[in-house]
Amino acid sequence: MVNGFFDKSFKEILSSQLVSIAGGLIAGFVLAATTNKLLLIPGMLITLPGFLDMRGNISGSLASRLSSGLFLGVIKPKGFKTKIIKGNVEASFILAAIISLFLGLIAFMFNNLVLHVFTPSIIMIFLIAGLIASAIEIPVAIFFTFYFFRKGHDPNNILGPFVTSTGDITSILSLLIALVII
Amino acid sequence: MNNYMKRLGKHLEKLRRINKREHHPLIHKIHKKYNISKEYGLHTNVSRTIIRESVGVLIFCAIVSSAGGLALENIKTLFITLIPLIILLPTLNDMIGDYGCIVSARFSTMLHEGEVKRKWWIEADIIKLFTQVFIVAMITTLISSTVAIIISFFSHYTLTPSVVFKIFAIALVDVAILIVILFFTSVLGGLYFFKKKEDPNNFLMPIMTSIADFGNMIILAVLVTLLF
Repeated sequence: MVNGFFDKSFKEILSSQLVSIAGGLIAGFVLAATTNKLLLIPGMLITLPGFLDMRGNISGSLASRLSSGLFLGVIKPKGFKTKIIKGNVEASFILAAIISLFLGLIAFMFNNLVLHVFTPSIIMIFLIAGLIASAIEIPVAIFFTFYFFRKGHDPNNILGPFVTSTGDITSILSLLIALVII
Repeated sequence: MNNYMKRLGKHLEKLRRINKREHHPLIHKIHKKYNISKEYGLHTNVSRTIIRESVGVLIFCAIVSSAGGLALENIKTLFITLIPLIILLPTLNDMIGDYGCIVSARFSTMLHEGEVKRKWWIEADIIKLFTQVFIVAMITTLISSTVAIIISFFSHYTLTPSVVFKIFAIALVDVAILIVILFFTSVLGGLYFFKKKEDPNNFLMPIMTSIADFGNMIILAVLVTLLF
């Protein structure tokens, strides 16, 4: 009975999670190293988890949609400049902008209503960070979806943990860049 | 065996290269009536379709995550002094959400394959699924907590045996509670949606990730307040 637990699916779950925690720990390390810059901003802790999730949600869905298109045959493995891919990229950027703006507004309203601090710049920080993170993460997601597909793998099995891990790191770095810009 | 695999690979590659037509033009005309996605249709505005279908769920996820984040913001002054927990925060968030998705996806498959009987709590496959996910969750939590503590130590963070014990305790209790909650929500929700002739996958995934995000931050905030 005990041996039955440690079968192929056990190994698959464990190995995919080890990849996932590696990315999360790198992101956590960057977050801890920049605590005095990032986490001291009022309202940052409220929206930070949502911001980290957003990258995985948007890029993960993008990779998943492209994989479906590749398997259906409506997206060709060697053609990037198609209507469907352009539409997907456009939608991912617009969604990232909308959600970043929304998260910035939540933080701004919390600061204004609860902490009585007027911080309109936090809206811009999230918006700029969301766009920077998308500019890095979307091409990465597209490139690796096509790469794994061409190599004969199912991108759906690999890109989930991959995109969430890289998404965490790029999100925190983008927040830092946005902070410097603002 | 190797030759067989090579031939199979070649055949699959041939199949993949076959030029498929786009969706049948009729799809564009009947998609509303039959609730069919027309993302790959003939006259589709791809980006508008994706945005319209995704924006609601993404905003909902952002609200749920922010509600959980509110709990952490309340104990911010204490939380930001606990470097190992800051390092662990993104990992715990990702990890718990992933386990929720694994449980719900596999349980939905079991439902579709007719493997779940009325007394699901004594089914060997369900007990196996729970045990596997629970063991992997404990192993990955132990590994990530150890790495977080080592990084903190080399970052000149003052670590006492009591702090190390509390960090391990917080991470393990947080993950264990959430795995149990996610498992039972997944099973009960899955049975409910399956009874209603719906695909549980469509409902369980967003519910699981939301519970994981919200629950993780609430439980972390409670445990940090109790132990530190």
